[in-house]
Amino acid sequence: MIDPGIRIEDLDAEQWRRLWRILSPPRSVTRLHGLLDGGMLVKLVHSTHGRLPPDGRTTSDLRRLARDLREAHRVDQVVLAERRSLHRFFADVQRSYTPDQSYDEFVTLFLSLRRTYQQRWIIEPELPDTWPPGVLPLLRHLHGALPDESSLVVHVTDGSSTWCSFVVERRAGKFTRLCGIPDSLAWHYHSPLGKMPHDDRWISLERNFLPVHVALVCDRDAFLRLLATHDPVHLLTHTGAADRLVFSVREGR
Amino acid sequence: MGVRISSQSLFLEEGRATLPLLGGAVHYWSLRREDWPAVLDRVREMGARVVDTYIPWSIHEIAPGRFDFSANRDVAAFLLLCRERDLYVVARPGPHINAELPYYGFPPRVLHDDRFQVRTAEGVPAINLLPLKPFPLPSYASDAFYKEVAGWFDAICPVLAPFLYPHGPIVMVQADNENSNFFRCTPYDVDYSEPALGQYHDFLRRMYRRIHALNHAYSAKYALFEQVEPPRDFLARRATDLPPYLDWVAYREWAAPHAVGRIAHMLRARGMVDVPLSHNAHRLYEPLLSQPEMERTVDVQGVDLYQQEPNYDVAKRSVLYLSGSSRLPCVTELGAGTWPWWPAEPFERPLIALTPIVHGASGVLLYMLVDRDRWMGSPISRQGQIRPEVFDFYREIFRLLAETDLLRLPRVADVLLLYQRDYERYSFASRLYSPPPLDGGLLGPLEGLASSETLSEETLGFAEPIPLAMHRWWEDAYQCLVEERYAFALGDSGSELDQLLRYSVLICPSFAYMGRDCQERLGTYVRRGGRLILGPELPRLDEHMRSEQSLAQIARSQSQEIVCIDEPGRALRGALARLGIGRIVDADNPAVDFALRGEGTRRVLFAVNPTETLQRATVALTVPARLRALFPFVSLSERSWETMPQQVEIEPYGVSIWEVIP
Repeated sequence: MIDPGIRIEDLDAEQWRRLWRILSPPRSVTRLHGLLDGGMLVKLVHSTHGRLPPDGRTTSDLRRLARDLREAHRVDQVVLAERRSLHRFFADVQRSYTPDQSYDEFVTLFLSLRRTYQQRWIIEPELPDTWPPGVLPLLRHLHGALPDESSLVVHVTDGSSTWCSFVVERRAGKFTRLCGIPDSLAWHYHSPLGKMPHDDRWISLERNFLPVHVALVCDRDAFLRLLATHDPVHLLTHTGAADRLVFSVREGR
Repeated sequence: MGVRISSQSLFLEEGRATLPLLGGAVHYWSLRREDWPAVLDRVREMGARVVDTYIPWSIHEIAPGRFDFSANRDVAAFLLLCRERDLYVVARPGPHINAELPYYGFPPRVLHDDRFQVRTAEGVPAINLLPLKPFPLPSYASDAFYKEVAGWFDAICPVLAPFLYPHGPIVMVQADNENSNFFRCTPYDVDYSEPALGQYHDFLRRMYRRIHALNHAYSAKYALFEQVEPPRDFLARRATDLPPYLDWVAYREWAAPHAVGRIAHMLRARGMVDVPLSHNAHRLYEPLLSQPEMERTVDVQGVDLYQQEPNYDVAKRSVLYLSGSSRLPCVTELGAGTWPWWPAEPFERPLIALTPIVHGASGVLLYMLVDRDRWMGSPISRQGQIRPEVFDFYREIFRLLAETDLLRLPRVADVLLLYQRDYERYSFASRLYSPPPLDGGLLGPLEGLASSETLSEETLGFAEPIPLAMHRWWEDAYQCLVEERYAFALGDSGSELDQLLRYSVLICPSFAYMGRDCQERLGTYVRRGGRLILGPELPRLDEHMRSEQSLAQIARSQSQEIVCIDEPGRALRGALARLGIGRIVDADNPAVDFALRGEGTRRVLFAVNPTETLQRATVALTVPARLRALFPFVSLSERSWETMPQQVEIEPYGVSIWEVIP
């Protein structure tokens, strides 16, 4: 749950859109999805070319099948699942519901259950440059979640100009908070455009913006490394002008 | 009736005037009451004629059975302010409303009542897994659920009744919202609760009347209808295995309109009379969301569109389907602004905003006109300030529509390409994966499985899997109609005959089997003067895989009126040419899409550039004509008359509109 005393202010729709372009996966991955039925491959779909005829082969070694398919179809990733295990998984997810479960509790539970099913689903290979499971949904959902119906946590004002900030805290392997922080707190971490460090922590991701304008965005790997720590991570954004959005990352408070 | 649907618009009997369904959502309860006047003033300045508002049960019920209609919950005061500003209202009392509320507008006590919870195929209570909160889904098959809803309607309907037109501004009332078991639109996910199974058995009883008839169709030995087990997975191996699966989908197709019908009946019984009742679908086309069936239940069903520019074709198809199947094709929610947990465009770009108008919508309601918590980027802030870029854009669009009366012009279409319900049901039933909807990457790379095509590859003894062949044939036909710039709409094989007879040519996929009803309807269509293009084969069986050759016999005796083509493309072009079907325009740039609306001698031409680069085209209508530019915006005095052909330039993701003068 977001801290009820904290609001995100001064974020207009255009800034919000740019923010989401940053948070979107960095590149498209060519992928084969396969469904199995009792070990028999019954469905095969290519992310670009669509349906492929499954050859009906039966196997108990899904990992090997995934590797073979990856090589044969020259894709970045192969995802295989026994279709009934997917249905059982969703039954387990829904069975685990408790009244008044919050969305972040649900996400945590979902990911925990997903780990228990990991052996039944094959993702070959795990790609390092995609978001860790749960990060993106948390970023999406918790920002929108409200402590009660009358709350104005997500509060966008007109003619706004400057700050949007997030704090992600990860404790004991669980993302516990993601929230906007007001200008007064965020200002402390402000890095003016001209003083941005140009080391490997900062890269240009111009393609993330429409129209293309200057953007300095934190390096994704650095960001993921930070998320992997147990220290609080502070993501700070600053719009220096209407056509710019700067995203910076700092470790610790 | 104080308000009726007439000539693609609402007709106000008292004022003897038509009312364009043009406006959008303002949620009074999420605004400060003192801001209502300023907000509604801006809404009027923008040119909106209609305000729609949800009326959330959960906001008004402050304790079980106790309702609050004071302060910013004073919906009557809000309606009075609307009337003072000559704004008409679409009232949406639910019970389901979503509205980005944590329980979709239901009081939590109702959702946690285990007497009426939706069950999954595994017998587990079905839980909403979408934001803002997980919650158990209430079953619309349960009588106990409707008793709870009755309590809410008993409270809200007397508040609304004095404001029904002509005594007040309410011109339409919506029965429920996006009824679909809360977006659970897969074949074997829900609802397997006891009340739902009882409803399913009643459905089979009405269909077969006697159990031996069902046993004959299913090759089964049930003693009672109550013993029939619903399918929980697609396990068919032969064509004769199909009937139980097709019946299950047909049942589910019936269940949503039936639920909305019960709610509509409850609203009517509580005084919501003399105005049309409406519903809105969260998407089209889906076997479970039957437009014809829903419009037999309520007066009109619109569609909600939350698309981004790259999905122009998705939005276009929805509107094309509405224009070919609805008595009042309207986009009941057109995204204007966005909800915070969705990485979406703010939707104010011309392409998606104008797509409904281009392709034949007769009503457009923006969701939302005014921001609130969990909604941002609308034309008007919650304090009544305008967001100039967005506000001005929509004001100009609204002005254009008011000046030209464009919404009343139907889409010009000679040809109707049908979604064929028998095959769509089979296709839907043959999905191998029935996940509940999730939002935002929770499954990681596995998520692609939900969005990818998962139809069974089993042939069941047919030449090839019919669902796969059907989609290929249909898509080829659609692409041919688009590329050749024919005047067409999309339709539904379940539509009434009168609806089909508005078009001179129907195009419909057909395979070894086709439902008896559909064969009869298409046969009657031909006997009444219509022409039919089928393919790739003529049906010889009915939906129970029993011999049925009525359509094939008509095809043999009336070979000029029924054409069977193996593959669309050249064959379809040839068939349409032989039937005398012409193109909308001749244009030399295939990237630019064209559409025509009109009635009598009046025509309006649209050109759409759905690409990210500037497009040029030389355009000529197939008859001599001049064009008068209507959009991009020019003032009346500046509008010029041009002769054809015309060289046009269309901005990336842009739309141009001209009046056509013969």
